[in-house]
Amino acid sequence: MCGTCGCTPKTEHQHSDESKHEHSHGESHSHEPGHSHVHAGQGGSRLIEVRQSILSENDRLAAQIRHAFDHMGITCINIMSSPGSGKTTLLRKTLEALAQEIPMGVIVGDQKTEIDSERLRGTGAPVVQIETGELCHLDATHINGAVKKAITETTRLLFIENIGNLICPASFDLGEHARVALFSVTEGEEKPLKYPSLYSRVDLVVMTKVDLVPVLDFDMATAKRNIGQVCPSAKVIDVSAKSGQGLEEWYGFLRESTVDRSHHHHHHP
Amino acid sequence: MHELSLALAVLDQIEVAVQGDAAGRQEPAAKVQTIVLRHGPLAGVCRDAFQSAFELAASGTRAEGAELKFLDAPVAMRCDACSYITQAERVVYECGQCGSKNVRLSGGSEFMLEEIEVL
Repeated sequence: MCGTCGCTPKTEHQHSDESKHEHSHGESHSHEPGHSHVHAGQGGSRLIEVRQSILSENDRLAAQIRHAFDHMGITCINIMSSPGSGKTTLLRKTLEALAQEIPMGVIVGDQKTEIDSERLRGTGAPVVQIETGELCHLDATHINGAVKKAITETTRLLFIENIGNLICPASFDLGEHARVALFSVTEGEEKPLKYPSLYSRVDLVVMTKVDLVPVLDFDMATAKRNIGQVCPSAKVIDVSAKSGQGLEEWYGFLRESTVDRSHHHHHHP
Repeated sequence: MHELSLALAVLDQIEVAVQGDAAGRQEPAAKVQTIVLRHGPLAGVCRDAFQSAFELAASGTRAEGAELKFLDAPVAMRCDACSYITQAERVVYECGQCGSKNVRLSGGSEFMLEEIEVL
């Protein structure tokens, strides 16, 4: 278990399904401070009503980051997957293909090395590498620290290539506008069922390496049915960065996502 | 899975509530005895991990030793067709009353500070 976010149960217990279904980035109800209701409790104690949603520091910072992106006209996309699903390869193709069309930037996270950022440089888009060390996920603090180096005045699209990990990244809002999961055909069809925290909160699932399907026993229909069960609202596209299949559909999704945000305030339920 | 960050957020909210309550009194309440939280299974928060994180974070504060009480916020799906709200252990995309698949989540992901008991 990760030393940073491990759960340490002390007693026999059952965990309920902790998958999130809303595409919310933190509920925000607030009362004005001091506007609380007080009742008498037992033994001279007082009950102070609060009735307020608990927003972590991460959620607060992520909301600020997203707000800033809206003002700057930047669409931010958080790309998550298991390690080796093809995030960096897909991003490289994307940066090359859309270099003249959409000003882009990339923040990429890994435990260690600059390997991914080096693979992504040279297309004109700024690329920033974050090495998280022992930490298993990117959080809003990382993004806040790196973003200035990843964007320019004209940037319209910022990719965050998250750490290859299907669990921890799901819980950390990075200020993104859209969450994308890559799902490679060399993984099992049951992945979405096994990792509901991540798969229940995505806008798009990109099936990757589909050029390999003929030599695998991968059941695409079952995989897509599983996605639909866990996240009925998710779009799904089939892509092979190697053969080029589906890349135009992926670029289409990116173009649609990159609305003119400077005139459009992004609302969250 | 960021229970420590949430525990710190709750402590901040408690402090605001205690200071707000103190307006008009001589001193803010010295001790928080009970903290009541509303928590749903879809909140992405593990109660045990939160308990551990809270004990760590509350050490040395007026909330040290406070009892945490959790109120369940059940998973609830509201039907677009008949308005019925289906409650369940897990998310089920089917209305319990009319069978329609056009349901949307209306509860189960709450994580809220409801009230605190202070001395």
